[in-house]
Amino acid sequence: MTMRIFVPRDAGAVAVGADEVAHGAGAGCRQARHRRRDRQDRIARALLAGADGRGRDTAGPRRVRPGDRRPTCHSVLDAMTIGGAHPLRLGLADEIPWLKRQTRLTFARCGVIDPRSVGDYRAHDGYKGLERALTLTSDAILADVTASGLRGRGGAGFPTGIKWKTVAQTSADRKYIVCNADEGDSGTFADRMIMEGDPFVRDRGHDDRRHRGRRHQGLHLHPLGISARGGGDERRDRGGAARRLSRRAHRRLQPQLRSRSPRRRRRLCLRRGNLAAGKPRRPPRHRPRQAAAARAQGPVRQAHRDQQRAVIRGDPLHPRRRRQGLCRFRHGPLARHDADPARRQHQAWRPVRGRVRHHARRTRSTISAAAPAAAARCARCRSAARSAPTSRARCSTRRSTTRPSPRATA
Amino acid sequence: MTSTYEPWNEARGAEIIAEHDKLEGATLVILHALQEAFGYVPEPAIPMIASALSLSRAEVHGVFTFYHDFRREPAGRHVLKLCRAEACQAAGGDALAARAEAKLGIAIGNTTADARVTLEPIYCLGLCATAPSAMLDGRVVGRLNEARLDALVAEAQR
Repeated sequence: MTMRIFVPRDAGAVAVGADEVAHGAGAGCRQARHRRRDRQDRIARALLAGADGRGRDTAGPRRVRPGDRRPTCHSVLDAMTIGGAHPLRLGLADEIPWLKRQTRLTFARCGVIDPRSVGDYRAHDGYKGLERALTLTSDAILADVTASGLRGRGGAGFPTGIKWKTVAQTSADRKYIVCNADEGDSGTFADRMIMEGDPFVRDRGHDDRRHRGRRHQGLHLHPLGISARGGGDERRDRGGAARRLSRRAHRRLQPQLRSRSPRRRRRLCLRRGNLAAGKPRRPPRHRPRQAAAARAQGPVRQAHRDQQRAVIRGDPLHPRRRRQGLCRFRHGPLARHDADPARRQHQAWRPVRGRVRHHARRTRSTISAAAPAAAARCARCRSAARSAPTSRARCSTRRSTTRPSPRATA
Repeated sequence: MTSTYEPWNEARGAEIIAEHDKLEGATLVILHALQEAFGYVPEPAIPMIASALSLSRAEVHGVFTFYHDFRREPAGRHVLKLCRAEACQAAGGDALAARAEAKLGIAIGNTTADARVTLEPIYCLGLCATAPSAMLDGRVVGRLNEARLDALVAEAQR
């Protein structure tokens, strides 16, 4: 029977030389090497395990102490192969007392499956919950999760059912699931074991919710380890995966921060800061009159409003622009911007006459509609044109109409 | 790092930006792409990103400076990150950091004159159990002592 050798590959084991062990074992045995997260990896770093028909025979841990003559892994493997004695050989994994007494639930698959293999995951009861969820309605899933008493894995242990219910009751055209797997606090990395050993579990949590919420977007933020969704390649490489991962995560996170209205954008930035600081989100202001009016108006009025909006959009000096959320001039306090020296050096943010400031940057759709008018009427651009001839050329271009680059004006 | 980077070139930078500027939330994507191409994010690229995405330069600057892994200048060929967080400090990380600085002749946060090694601090690799820890070009190393650190530094200088 072929002997399979398991060498842990979690970050803790790799840091103390699991790669070298794997390399040595592979070179010594010329057998297929299987890098897997080992069941015992947490306690016994760089633990070797060989498996044949009898179960897993383990050896380790190997600690480096001054004056130690490090026995090569070959001698351990030899001992395992012939069943001989070795100071580092621990015997069958299932017979080691502290392992024997364990009942593994969360970590049931860690060390047993190849963390990168969906097949392994499915073969060990993976996606069972998702399969069932797909046959249920949203309400039934909520009821199930609530009845199960499932709680979050974070410190607060918030009941998952209540959390999901809140999300389900919130109306939004897009909802986000953020899995903060960054584990950025120093000295923790609490869930790394499961993220590295059984990553599909985390994905499944997302899938369950996505199915229930239909329009959820999942985000994972994990700096080092095996990454989340997507092609198999990502599961294979450590650094690049995290990069791609955060790239993808931010691709999804950012649209909120590119909201059209500067006021709303500022609020979103603020909210993002508050969320990061753990402050609760302020509930949205309830505007019963507007909501009722919108309901009463129906599609005809809506078409009329759309038309009006298009007119307003095309006119950069229209008095109703601000009400439409198309910030033309900046009114009121600009504390954040004025306090920011990088932004202050932008001409565009300087007051022009009294309270009237140059119109803010606009989204592409607004700019394309308003470009000629803006170029003709814009007080700042005229002055900028006098001082810097390049600005006039820029003014006729689509994007730079309102905001020549600071380099050009400086 | 073993890969070679192209020198900064405005046209190439604009090309990279144009590749991604249709995405939702393209700022980070572009910053990553630029760093991948040039090895760092050149200063002139910031206003270019800002104008391509209709963002203010301050916003792009804010994103750029928030993430410490975006570089302002090219790194050395190898990047050695020493964990300077609590657990590693408690396990003797300070002395090791001083030793690495002395060996390389630079302070933490700098690159050697021959552009071989960049020495950087990092705040927790999550390897507190095997503290003090370090990372050389993305490979984590735990249970550092003077001998292992010397070997690591020598490997980086190679």
